[in-house]
Amino acid sequence: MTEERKQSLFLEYIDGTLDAEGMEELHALTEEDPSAKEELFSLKELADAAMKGDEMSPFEKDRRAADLIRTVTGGRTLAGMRAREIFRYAAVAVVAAFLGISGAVILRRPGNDSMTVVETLPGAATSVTLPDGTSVTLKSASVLQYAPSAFDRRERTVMLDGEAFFKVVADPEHPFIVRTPHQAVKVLGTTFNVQDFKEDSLSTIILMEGKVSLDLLDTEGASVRSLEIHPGEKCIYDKTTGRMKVEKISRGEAAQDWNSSICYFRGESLDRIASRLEQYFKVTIEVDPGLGKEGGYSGAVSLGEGVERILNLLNYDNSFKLVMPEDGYYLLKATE
Amino acid sequence: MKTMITSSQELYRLESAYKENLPGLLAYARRFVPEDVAGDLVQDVFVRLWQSYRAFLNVPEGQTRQAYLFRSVRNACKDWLKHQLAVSRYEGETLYLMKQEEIDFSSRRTPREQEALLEAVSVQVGQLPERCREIFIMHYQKRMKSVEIAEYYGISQRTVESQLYKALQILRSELSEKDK
Repeated sequence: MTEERKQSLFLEYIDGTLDAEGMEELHALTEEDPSAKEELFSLKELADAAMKGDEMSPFEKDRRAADLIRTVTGGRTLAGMRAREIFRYAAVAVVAAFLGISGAVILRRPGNDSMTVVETLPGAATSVTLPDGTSVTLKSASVLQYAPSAFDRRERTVMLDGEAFFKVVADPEHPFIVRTPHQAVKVLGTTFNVQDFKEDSLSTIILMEGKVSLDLLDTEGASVRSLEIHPGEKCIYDKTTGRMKVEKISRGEAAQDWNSSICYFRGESLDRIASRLEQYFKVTIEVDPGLGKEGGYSGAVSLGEGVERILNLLNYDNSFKLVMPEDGYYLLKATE
Repeated sequence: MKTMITSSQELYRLESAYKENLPGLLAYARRFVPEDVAGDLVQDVFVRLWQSYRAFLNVPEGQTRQAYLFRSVRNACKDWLKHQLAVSRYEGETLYLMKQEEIDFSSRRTPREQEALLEAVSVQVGQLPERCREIFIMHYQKRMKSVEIAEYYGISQRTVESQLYKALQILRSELSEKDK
């Protein structure tokens, strides 16, 4: 065999492009001459080392890790497990609320891998400062989690179910990542609002400053789309249709106070929403007993819309009839 | 429905062990088996770890743990190749044989030594003659085909290939000098 032939067989083997015929030829050569075999594998090893194949994006790593966890737990995700645990904590939070501790409850689990869990009760909001100085305003009925021990090491990751407003301290070395059930938002330093309640069909991200890269995850946790949004833009993702759109935010939206004018609810019953609206608008709302217990309303409405409009919004599926016999009196009647 | 009681502490540890070692293990497996197979095999190693050797999660991150994981991945790759050999009959048979030998060859280095090699290679690549280095980087790091590189420089593909070969041979002799 000529040196030239050997060279091209070696290079193609290293690249993984050698055809069956060439493979036979190469195999024959290496069987005949053990030193050629040694040489081939050494060169291949060097080329592999030069390829630096062990770089991997954090998203890719997260995706694969989620896949592993799903496999070992038989279909559940770590996020799901976390949600369960939070459920237990939520009970604690309610007790705390009765004791007069309002707003948020911070809970810490023991051990090295402890997660800090901040949860707000419906109607409440709280501010949290993360170990890196980033400030987070956690909105009503939301859960924010992070592992303080792992927070700064490579990237700053928090998990959010609900809505929060972030002012991220710039740190190019450690990207800041907000994971929600459907999205991963990665930033370096910026101001933005994320709203993604697990049971809500829409999620929105509004960007005030800086630049945000957004990875959309499918139900398997794999990234299906990624895009960038710019200041003054809003990204709305419809989880049921999978449609995503980016639009400019209105001036009103840009200027709004993120805590005051919006009423959030999350998997709540009509009864519960009605009583909240009664508080907000000082009106009387009567709900047909057949309807009131049904839960599952999630979303956010601007109180500026007025009570009638909000009630109509709630009636998007015509599950009731809105009757207004007199001013300040609303009756939600079951439809037959 | 089956209820499985697991502490999520353990799951967190599994997750972090996986994330910590995944890139290296995957890169290792990809040397011997196709890309998608590599991902599955590495994951399977961790699944089996979870099912039958959970105490492993208590082994602190370090050489012992890393060596165990690499060994497991190596065995998984070998089993896969063996299986392919059994089912493939003729098609690709020689490739699987070669890959088996290659994977055995790879086991002479510990993971730690493998890491050291990575470092040493990147240093030595910097010492290659200029044109040789450029071509080497374009092909092995930027994954350009040799025909594309030939076009870029306006040289023959054969010249590109001999430069690549030369680069690998220089690295080999430099690094074997060092070993001594």
